[in-house]
Amino acid sequence: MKGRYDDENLKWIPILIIAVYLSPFLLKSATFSYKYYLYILNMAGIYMILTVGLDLLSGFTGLMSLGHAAFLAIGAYTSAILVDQAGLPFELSLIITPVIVGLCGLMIGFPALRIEGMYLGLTTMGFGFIVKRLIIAFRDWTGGSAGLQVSKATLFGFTISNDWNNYFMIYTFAIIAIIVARRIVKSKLGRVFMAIRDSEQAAQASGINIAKYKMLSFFISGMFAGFAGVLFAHTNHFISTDHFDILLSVYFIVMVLVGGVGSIYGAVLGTLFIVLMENMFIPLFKDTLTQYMHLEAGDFQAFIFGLIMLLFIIFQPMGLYGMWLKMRIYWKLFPFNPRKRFT
Amino acid sequence: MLKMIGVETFYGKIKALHGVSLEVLEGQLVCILGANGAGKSTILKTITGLVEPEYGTIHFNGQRIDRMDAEDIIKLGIGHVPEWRRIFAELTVKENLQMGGFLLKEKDLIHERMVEAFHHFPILEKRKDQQAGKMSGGEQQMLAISRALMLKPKLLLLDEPSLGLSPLLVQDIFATIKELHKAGTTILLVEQNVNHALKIADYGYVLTTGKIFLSGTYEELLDEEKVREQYLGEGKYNRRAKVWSG
Ligand SMILES: Nc1ncnc2c1ncn2[C@@H]1O[C@H](COP(=O)(O)OP(=O)(O)OP(=O)(O)O)[C@@H](O)[C@H]1O
Ligand SMILES: [Mg+2]
Repeated sequence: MKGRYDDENLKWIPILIIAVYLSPFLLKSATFSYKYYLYILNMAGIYMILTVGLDLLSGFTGLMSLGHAAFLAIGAYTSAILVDQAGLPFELSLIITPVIVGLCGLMIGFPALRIEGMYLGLTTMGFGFIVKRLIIAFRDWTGGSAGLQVSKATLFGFTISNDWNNYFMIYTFAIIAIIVARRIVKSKLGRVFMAIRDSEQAAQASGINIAKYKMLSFFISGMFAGFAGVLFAHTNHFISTDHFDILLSVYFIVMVLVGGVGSIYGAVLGTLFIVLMENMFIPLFKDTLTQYMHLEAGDFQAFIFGLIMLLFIIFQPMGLYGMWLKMRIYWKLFPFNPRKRFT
Repeated sequence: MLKMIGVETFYGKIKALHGVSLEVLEGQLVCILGANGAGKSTILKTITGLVEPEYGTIHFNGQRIDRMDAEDIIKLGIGHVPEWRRIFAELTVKENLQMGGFLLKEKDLIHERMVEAFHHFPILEKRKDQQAGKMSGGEQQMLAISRALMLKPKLLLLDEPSLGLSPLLVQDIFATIKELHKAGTTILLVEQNVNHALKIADYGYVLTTGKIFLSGTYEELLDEEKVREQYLGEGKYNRRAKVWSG
């Protein structure tokens, strides 16, 4: 894809993938509490799968969603019920659950044909509330507000039992998800999504059935979220409605925005950044700052994320990924007043 | 070729077209004039099925199209260049043209048509890997027109192609339209640029608040002092109208 991020150089991708697989070993040799870090990285990996799908929907097709935490929840609960109560193998759930969540995406896609922008955001958010209510209502299956224990994942006879093993499973799937998303973006389908985002009228006038493709975008995005939901349920071993708060949907949008909308890799970077911020950086300051500012821990986090998002929208609309691309050109052109190219 | 009879289109409860009837004959260049909000764009959108008419009929080459989906109407051979040169800003020039050929199945054909477009507008070839949104207004308009031409439409609908362009570029665009017309494309042109538009048009319609108010050839319409009054507003604007018409 040429265009907004046209200075991409993808030679470093294989190196990055190797780094992903090496980092647990590095962490283990570096610190005793590596298990805690792995747990956080696992969370980031699961969220990445979801945000990459969210980027396809919001970044590439231009359809706002504040319902992705609900898609994640549907994925997690569906898989828990399919595997633990209906006795389906985990591998099968990995295929069926995303399809089911994708179909839920289609359901939400219907109103999206008529509404736009912020209103679509609110509608999808309303969907989040409904899903939460439904989870509590169907307590025979979901455990209601008490939550639900979920079995461990088993892949081809191996039980994925701890965070170490979870890491390799999650990141293998995350890498696959990213590759698939990049493929979609670079295909004709990806260009159609972008065409709809840039001008619905012109897309229609070119003979593109925008209703069909908007629905398809919701379906695909739902599938990514559903896939993330399966991994979430079977690596966390316990799910409850608290894990899928409405605020999480907002954080997903922040992750995509901070990383750089419409670039896939941006969503990956943004997710890593926000999850690390939330779990490693913010806790360092929480105690002192809550003392002086009389903020609850959760409020403080929301405040920081809001601030980060605002700063990015104003100063760096292309996100972390765009920043990295700019830095690369900067060094390449170094002595020759590279600043000019950025304005 | 195209025949609209008594078409009424609504946006929700707002009635935008109050029974519009008009006809475009094969090989003609027909122009629709009218002030802002008169409903010019709505006529074009109704023809291509971007909005659906409540009443009335539209026939294209004898086939009734007013209940068809946009996709199918475009397949019949109607091209639409929307207002404000709505190009796909973040796609490259090449990708924009590819999207224009979305309905073409064969890749070779898309390539062939693209080469034709580049032949028509060499500037597009120079910019082919550039993001379309970063081009100048004139270049974007050329791209928007080329994109619609990818499907070789029998009838081309042009919505205010001169909008926001400098006088020199306006002349360029009108020269291009004239060329297209000469090459055999039937054209329905929406314009606010009365003089330019009527000069190249075979026939003109004047629209006021959703109704056809006047119609005729260039000479007939120019004679009608009413056109200018109605079109440019009455009384105090009249003097400006004189300035505009030279
Ligand atoms: N999407 C829409 N929703 C609601 N009303 C609309 C919509 N589009 C147009 N209208 C209304 O319909 C009427 C006709 O609009 P239209 O865009 O066809 O005018 P126009 O003649 O093309 O004007 P302009 O010269 O400004 O392009 C206007 O009163 C406008 O406010
Ligand atoms: Mg208009």
